Amino acid sequence: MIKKVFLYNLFLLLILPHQLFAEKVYLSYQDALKLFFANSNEVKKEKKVISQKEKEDLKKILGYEPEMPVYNFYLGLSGTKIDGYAIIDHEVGKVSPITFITHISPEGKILQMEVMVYREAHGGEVAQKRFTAQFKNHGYPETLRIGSPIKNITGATLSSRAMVKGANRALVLWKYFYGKN
Amino acid sequence: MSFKIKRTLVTLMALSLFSINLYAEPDLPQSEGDETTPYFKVKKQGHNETSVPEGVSGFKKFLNRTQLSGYLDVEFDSDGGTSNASSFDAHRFVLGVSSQLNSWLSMNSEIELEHGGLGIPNEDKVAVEQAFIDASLHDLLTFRMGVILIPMGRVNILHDANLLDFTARPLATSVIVPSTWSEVGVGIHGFHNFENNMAINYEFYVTNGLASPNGDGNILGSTGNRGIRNGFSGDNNSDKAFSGRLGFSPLLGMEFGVSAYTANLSTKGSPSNRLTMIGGDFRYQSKSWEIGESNTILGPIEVHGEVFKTFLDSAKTGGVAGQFGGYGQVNFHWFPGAFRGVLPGGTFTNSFRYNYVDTNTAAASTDEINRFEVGFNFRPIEPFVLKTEYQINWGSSTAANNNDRFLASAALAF
Repeated sequence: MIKKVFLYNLFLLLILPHQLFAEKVYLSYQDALKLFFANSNEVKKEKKVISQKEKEDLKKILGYEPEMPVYNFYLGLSGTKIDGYAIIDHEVGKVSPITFITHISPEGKILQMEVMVYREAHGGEVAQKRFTAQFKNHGYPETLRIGSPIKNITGATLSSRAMVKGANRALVLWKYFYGKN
Repeated sequence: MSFKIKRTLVTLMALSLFSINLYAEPDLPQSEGDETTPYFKVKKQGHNETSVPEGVSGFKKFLNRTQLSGYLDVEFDSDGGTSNASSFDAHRFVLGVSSQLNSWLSMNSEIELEHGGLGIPNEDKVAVEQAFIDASLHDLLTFRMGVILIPMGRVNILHDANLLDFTARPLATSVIVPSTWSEVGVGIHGFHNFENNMAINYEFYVTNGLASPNGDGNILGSTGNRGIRNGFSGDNNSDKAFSGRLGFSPLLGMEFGVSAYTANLSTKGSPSNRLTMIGGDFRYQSKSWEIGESNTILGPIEVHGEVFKTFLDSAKTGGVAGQFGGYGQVNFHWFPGAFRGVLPGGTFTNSFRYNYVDTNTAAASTDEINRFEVGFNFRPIEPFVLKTEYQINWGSSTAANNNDRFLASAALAF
C-alpha cells in the first residue's frame, strides 16, 4: 500500500511541472520541417531582419507594419534546387497568439498550413485538417479572406481570421523576399 | 543457433537498415533554443522558433496560464422600461476565466452581471453562467464536469452578444430554451473529422435538471421556461436530467444537429411531472464574392434556424399541454471596397428573422407569439458590433401585442 502511494505521488510529481504552462502543442519545430521537407536533402535557414525601409514597404502591401523584427525562412533544398519555403509566424486570436507554419511552393502557392501551438481555451478547431486544408493551393497574387476561399469556424471566428491574416502575411513576406523575380 | 534463424535475423537487420535509409531525414538547421521549453522560460533565454517575440500583441497575456476575457453589451429598447418606456439597459457584463493547464486538462468559466449586478433594482443578477473542467483523453472523448451549458440547439452554447447579429436572442431560445441555460453535472463530449472533410460532434450530460418553483411540476404557462431553471447547489429530486446533442457537418460551413433533454420537474415526494424537449438545428454559410474593380465584398450569406418541441406529463392533468417554437434567420454580410482601406476587417450585416413560439399547445391556445425582425449591424473589427433592429410582434398571446419595438446595442468581446 505504501509503495503504491509513493509511486502515485512520484507520478504526480512527474506530471505536475507540465501543468504549469498553458498551451497545446500540435507540431514541434523539428516535426514541422520534417513533414514539409521530407524529400529534400537539406533545410537551410535564412534570417530576414526587417529594416525600417522594408517595414515601410511591407506596410504599404499589408496595410499594417509586421510586428516581428525578424522572420526566419526555411528553404528545403535538393542540391541547388529549392523545393519550397516555410515560415513560422504568430497571430493573436482572441487573447493569445497562435503559432503556425506555412509551407509555400517555389511558385508562391500554399502547400500546407499547420497550427504548431494553440494557447486559448476556445477556437482550437482551427488546428483541424478540415480548416487548414482550405489554404492549400491558394497563394500570390490572391488575397485570402474569410468567406472566400476560407470558411470560418462558427464560434471560432477570431481564430479563423487570425489564421487568414497570418497566411496572407506569409505570402506577402515570401513575395517580398523571394518572389520578386 | 540454426542457420535458418541466423539467416532470418540477418535479413531482418538488413531490411530495417534499408527502411531507415528510405526515410532519411533532411539536415535541419539548429533551432535557437529548445522548442519544447515553456514560453516564459524562453523569454529569459532568448529567441525560439515557436515562441512569440515581445513585439507581438497579447504577449504578456500568455505569460500566465490563466486568461481573462469576456464581453459586454449595452442596449437601448424603445419598449423596455417601466410602463413601456424607452430605456437603456446595461444588459450583460460577462467575465470569463479560462486556463489550458496542459494538453489534456483545461477549465473555462463565465461570471455574468446582468442589468448592473447585485443590489441594483429590477432584475439584477450575478451568476455563474458556466464553470467546468474538461479532461480530454482523445478528440472523441472529453470528460466535462461542473456548471455546463445544456446542449439544446446552438444559440444556448454560442450565446455571446458579440457573436449574435440581433440584440434580442431568438424568441424560442429565450422562452422555450431558457438561454442562457446551464446546469450542474457531468458528461462527455467529442468530435471526429473524416478524411472527406465530413465531421461529427456530440455532447451528452447528466445534470440536476429543471425544477418547478412551486414544487408541483407545473411550468409557468405563457412565460415559458425561464422561471424553472434550477440553482447550482442542489437538486429538488433524485431523478437526474439527461441532455445531449449530435451534430453532423457534411462540409465546412454546414451543420445539422439534433438535441434532446428530459427531466422530472417535481420536488421529491410529489407526483412525477416529466418535461422532455427535442430540438433540431441547421446552419449554413456560403462563400463570399469580391465585386470587380470596386473591391466590394458581398457575402458570406448565412442561413440558420432551430426548432424545439416540449412534451409534458402535466398535459394529462390539464396543465400546459406542451410547447413548440423555432426560428429561421438569414444574414447577409457585405462591405464596400471604399471602406476596406480604412477598416480592412469591417463588415456590414443585414439580417432577417422570423420567430414563432407557442408556450401551451392546447387547442384553445392564447400563448402564441409571432415575431418578425429586420436588423442591420456594423462590425468595424470582428470583436466589436453596433446593432439596430426592429421587431414586429403578433399572435394570440396578449404579450405579443402592442410591443413592436426598436432595439439597438453595442457589444464588445475582450
